[in-house]
Amino acid sequence: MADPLMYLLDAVAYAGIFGILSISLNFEYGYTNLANFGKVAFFMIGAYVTAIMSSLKYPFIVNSILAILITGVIGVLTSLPALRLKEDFLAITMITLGEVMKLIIKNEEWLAGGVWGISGIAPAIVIPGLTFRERLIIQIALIYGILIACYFICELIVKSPYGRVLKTIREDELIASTYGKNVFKYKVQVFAVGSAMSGLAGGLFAQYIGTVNPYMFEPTVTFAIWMMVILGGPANNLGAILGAFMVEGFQRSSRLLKDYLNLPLDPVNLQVMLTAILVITVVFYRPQGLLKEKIKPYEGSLHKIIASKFMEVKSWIRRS
Amino acid sequence: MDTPILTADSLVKKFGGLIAVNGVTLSIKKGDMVGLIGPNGSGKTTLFNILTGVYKPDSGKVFFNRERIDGLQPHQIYHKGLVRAFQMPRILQRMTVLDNLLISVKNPGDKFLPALFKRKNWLKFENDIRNKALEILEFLGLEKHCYVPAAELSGGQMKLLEIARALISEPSMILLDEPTAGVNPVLANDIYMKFREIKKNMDITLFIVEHRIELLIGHVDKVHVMHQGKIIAEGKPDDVINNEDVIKVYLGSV
Repeated sequence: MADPLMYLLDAVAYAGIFGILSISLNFEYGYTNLANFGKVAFFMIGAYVTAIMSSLKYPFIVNSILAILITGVIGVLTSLPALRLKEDFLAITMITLGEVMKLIIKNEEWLAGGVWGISGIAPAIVIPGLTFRERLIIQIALIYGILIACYFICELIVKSPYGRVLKTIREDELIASTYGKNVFKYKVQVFAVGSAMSGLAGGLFAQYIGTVNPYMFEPTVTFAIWMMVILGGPANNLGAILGAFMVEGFQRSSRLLKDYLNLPLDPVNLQVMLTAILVITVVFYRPQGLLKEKIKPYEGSLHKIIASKFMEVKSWIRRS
Repeated sequence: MDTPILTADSLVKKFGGLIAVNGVTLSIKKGDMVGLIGPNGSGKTTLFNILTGVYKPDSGKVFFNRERIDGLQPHQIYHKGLVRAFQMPRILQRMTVLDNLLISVKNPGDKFLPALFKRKNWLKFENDIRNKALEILEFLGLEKHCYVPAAELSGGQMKLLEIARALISEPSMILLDEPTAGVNPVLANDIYMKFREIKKNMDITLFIVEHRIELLIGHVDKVHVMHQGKIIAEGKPDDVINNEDVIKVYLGSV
């Protein structure tokens, strides 16, 4: 460990990327009750699209737009059959999708380098003559800019009549269709938006790491994103981001902890066990997550939403 | 005014060996308030489910404003102007009472892109519709609860909310499944007065399932009596309660 600050900054960047994923899952699960257990597939496709395009020397902005479009389209295509299934079957189908996508990437070497993956992906913003730490800070600024944009898009959507329809679908699909809402169409749209957002996160991940290979996209990534949403609080976007920070922080600190504590346990298993204990504790004592869903009327215009969010964060910081 | 708004032609619906609806034919005139009575398990709610597209009939046809609607999805039937309220209140628990009402209105912000980019458009609409919703809530005595989560309402209040939701969407016809079950008698009567007012002012046709026949008398224009999936009698309420068959199956021998 050469520089503890670098480790911290790296964790912050990771938390930002996973914050975007967590917001997108929250949009699907927290607001619309779509159990998407295939998040990693869209994350991976976004990362690979960016990687391939980057190796063809296209700039990041083009790559990420393409990643958004391709993952959005794949999201729609998979949702058309998958969304006809009930919740648990949808979950199983989506886990399978993630695995199948990974296997395709692994075995089709002509497509994306097979098990070796693609390396040498150019970072989004290249300014020559900077130190590694300065480049890391630029990366963090980029990631958090996109995270904040995603947050406000989701926040505006769920605080509109559209969001009200999504919540109605979550609570009672029959009511939604009785009152003239085409439930299937809404679900497909939510799936497309959620997938596109995951694709964008994948693109950010690829250009941040600089290399992609199939082993980065195991199903555990999906479960980590689910943990973030469940811990932070479903149907609360701030909660989803908080969850991303918590899980990321928890995983990193437990990885460090094993260097300092001498326990009669396999240190690799210890981290998994601690994470499980964390999830069980939160689900047991605070099933609605750390930040509860706010059930209240809309604030109206954008600046009012921003102002009220600001107050929320302020009061939350003061309390803790 | 003699044109039928809703016509059902020999509807049949079976669940396994049970024939829940067995050849129901009925026709409801535009602007009428029509009752439907029958003992428990006689197929009233199944009939409603067929009319609103929740179930597909095994055979038979449904016409609404001369258009065939059987086999359509519930949301398509809503857009034709036919709306229902459920017997067991289906309340959206983790939403405010006001949102529970507003969901039933067709809103310009219901679509993804307008919700994001044409905010002025739907905010204005939202404002107007909110005032209307508050009026209805006030009539039903729920105005104090309009911003609380609907899960906090009592059972009777949920029932009222279910009715309010059907009223606010201003369709051309409403199917109400036991709107006054679990509501105190005075309010039940008030609700029927409100129905009459709605029928007169907004030209809405109402089709009401009711167990307490005494509530229907004096309010409705016509009553259908269902028994074992069939319509056994129809006519003016006064005639129907004197019908021998009806007395036998429904009112009991006195």
